[in-house]
Amino acid sequence: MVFDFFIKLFASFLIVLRRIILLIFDPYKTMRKISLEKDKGQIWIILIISFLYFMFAYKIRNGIFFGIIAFCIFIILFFITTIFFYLSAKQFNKNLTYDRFVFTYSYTLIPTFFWFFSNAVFFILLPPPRTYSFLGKGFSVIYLAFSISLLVWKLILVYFSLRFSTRLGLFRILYIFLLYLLLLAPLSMLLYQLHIFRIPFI
Amino acid sequence: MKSDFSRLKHRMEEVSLVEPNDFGFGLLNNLYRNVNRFFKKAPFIIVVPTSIFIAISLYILFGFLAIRLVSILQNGF
Repeated sequence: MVFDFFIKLFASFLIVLRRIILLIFDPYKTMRKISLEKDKGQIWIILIISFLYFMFAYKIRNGIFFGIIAFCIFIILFFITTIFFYLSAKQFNKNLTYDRFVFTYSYTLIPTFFWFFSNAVFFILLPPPRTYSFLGKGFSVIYLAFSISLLVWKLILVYFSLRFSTRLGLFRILYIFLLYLLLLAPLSMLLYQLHIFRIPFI
Repeated sequence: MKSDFSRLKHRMEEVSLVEPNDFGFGLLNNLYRNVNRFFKKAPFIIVVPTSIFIAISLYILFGFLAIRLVSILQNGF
């Protein structure tokens, strides 16, 4: 019984790894397949990866205890996001399932992991502040290019995620996303004031 | 033969999962299709060079502010 559980979890882990690579090369088709997914083990794998990230990042910064708090807040933020998208899209399309939002949106966290994890590694290898030397400027430009690339990848995945979860057109997706930003902006400010996230992990 | 048919049916259902975007204006539809094409498959081919261009432009336009931004972002995790 326990063995079966771990075998299933390992299979889900392999699928997640494969999908991460496919989301780089073929995001449209991969997100379409993810929207039809039924295997909840993949969501667990993504949550485990995020938990490991929080443990790693907060070990460098404030301590593991704060990492557990940050992880719990990330989970709340994740469900607020998916429920918001689900309820907003429900106004336009009644034939929706909440699971689809959880599956697709959990995969949009992949660029977020890449950025936050590499940021934590850079924090150890090349701690800020950046200098105005030639090497400092060079690293800054590369870092900016890297961050912009991941942000665009994230936006592409969020668009495809909403497209396949909501089955709506571009304008309605943009409308829902703008409404979400109106919710996220004060929430991010609050989390920043509480010293939980400097940049929201979502 | 039947399995081939069911596979084809499944594929057709998957492909027609979402309706194509219709903006009610041919030019906009074409523009959307042409732009979206770059993001559907291997988006990094266009995203990475564009990001490098934007990063260099940010440095040229804002100079040291761009470097300050990197210091702030590096503390952002």
